Amino acid sequence: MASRTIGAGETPGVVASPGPGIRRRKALIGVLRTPTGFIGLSIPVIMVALALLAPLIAPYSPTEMGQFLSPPSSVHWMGTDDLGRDTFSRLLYGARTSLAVALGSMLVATVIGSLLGLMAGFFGGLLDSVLMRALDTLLALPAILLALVLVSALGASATNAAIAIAIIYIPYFARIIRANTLTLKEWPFVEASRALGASNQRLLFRSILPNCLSPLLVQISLGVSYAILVEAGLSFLGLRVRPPTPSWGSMLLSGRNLMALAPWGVIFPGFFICVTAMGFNFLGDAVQELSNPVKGR
Amino acid sequence: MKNLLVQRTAELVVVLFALSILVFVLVRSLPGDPTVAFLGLQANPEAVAKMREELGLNESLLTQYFAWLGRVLAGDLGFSWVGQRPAIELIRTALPATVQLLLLTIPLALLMAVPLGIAAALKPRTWVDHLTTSLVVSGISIPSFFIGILLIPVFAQTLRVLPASGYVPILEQPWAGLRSTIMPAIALAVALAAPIARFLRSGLIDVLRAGYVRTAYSKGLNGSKVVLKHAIKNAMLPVITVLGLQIGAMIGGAVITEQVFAWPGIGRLTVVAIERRDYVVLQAIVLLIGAGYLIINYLVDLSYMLLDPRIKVGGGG
Repeated sequence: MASRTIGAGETPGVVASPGPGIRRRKALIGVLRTPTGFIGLSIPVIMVALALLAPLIAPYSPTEMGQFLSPPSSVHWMGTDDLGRDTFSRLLYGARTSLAVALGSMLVATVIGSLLGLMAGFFGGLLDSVLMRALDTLLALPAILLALVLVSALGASATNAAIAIAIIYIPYFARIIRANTLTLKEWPFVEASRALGASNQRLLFRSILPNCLSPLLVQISLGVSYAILVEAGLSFLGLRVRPPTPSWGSMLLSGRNLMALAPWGVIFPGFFICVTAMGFNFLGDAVQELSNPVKGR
Repeated sequence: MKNLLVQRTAELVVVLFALSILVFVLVRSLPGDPTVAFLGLQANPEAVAKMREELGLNESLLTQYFAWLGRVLAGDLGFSWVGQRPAIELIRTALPATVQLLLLTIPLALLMAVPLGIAAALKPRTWVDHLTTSLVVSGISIPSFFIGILLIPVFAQTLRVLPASGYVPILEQPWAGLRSTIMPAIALAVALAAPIARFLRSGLIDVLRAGYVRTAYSKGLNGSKVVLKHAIKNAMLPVITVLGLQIGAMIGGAVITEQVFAWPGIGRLTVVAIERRDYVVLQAIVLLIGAGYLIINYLVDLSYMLLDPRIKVGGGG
């Protein structure tokens, strides 16, 4: 049992550490106290809530047609598009696709990338070289280009966009976790656990992985932000969700041609994309600053 | 130093080889028969068979891969049936437009990022720093195509000072060329400026704490001289790396931004190649961009080894 007190999730160098529950609560309060952290936590929470509650909040169905190209008014807060569909309602439903793709892809990329990074960093040698060179290859292609080709290969759909973005992001997670694993595995608390007979599995998942949490969280929030932009870019190129399913990027695409007549059809979707991406970016920054207060950002 | 160089070069070769496999597999897994895309669904079967034969589509994948790799190494990137020209020629036609765009994007991004990065580093945790951080976060959160869409009505339609779209070669008509490039370059520069400002800020904060900077101050040099003469040189090193790493992102941004501005560069060529299932061109573009990125970063690493004396002395990274 000794290895548990030394190993599990403890910050190296901290002698007396409160339980994980208390520390987590403290960290959350810490994030909320900074202005960036407050914005960074609020925006994603609000956006996810809007997406989940879309059927309750949206004043219209996303496909319901009415007066076309009507400007923002009390009836249509953000105006209507060329088919007379309510922009606000479509943005809320679009949030479901955009966020599902972004969060889903990051979940997959985090799990696979972390596993690969842990193995490469912990076992080293040939496994490390082969894995990292293979991942370097993926990093050589610009994200949008790779996503474009992957989505064309898999077929245009929300799920495939998520798969493509996940594949793009796996190397980033693997690199970060590998770098942390390389350092952490030399720490006395890991050596002590090993000396006490802890299995590799226990060292990896109870000693090393929990201590990679803050860089991982930073990367996840920055990744979600980027995934939202990539998803929007793919939709903007017409390579994703098929009409009539709304998505922020495809709304931008269709609104673009009518920009002079109906600027609201472009400005509101663009605003949603930017604000959401910004929220996740701020969140990443706040977590980073907490874990490295001097340099931060 | 020598070992490091050999190791880094070997790494480059291995990754380039892996890249060729990745590109080949990716492009071959695209759906749809290229012969159908070119000849149409009603094509006569003999013509289809003949074209499949000419394209080598009847061979095994492994044979096709090595045949392709051999041709690529000999400088032949294939013939585009859709464009009716060799792929390399199509790329050569599109490349100057993209290069012109990127070459204007980099100085614009530096112009935005360097003053911000320096200001933030000199006054950490003040409103200047917070403003910089907010601008940086906004910069990476706004898709370049959205900036482009917003710029066009302002500068082309309302103020009428810049053309809304289209490419004019800057070497042939310098003034018109510059005017045509400004808007797409601004759209791309914002996203590039953000990480530069961020890295410059944190690099400069580190450097300003270094002993030699304190020495410079204690010699009685004034602040701007210390920063501009002594500190910034070292703080620019990570910025070079960031620039190298961001080239990929810039090309990615260009793929979409070129659509917005009807810019006949590599980005548009890519999108058109995907739409028309022009495998040959797509394969060539993806391979060249990937290889270009790897080689540029290899050169950045080399220049780093040459520029940073610590790496020379230590013999290891």
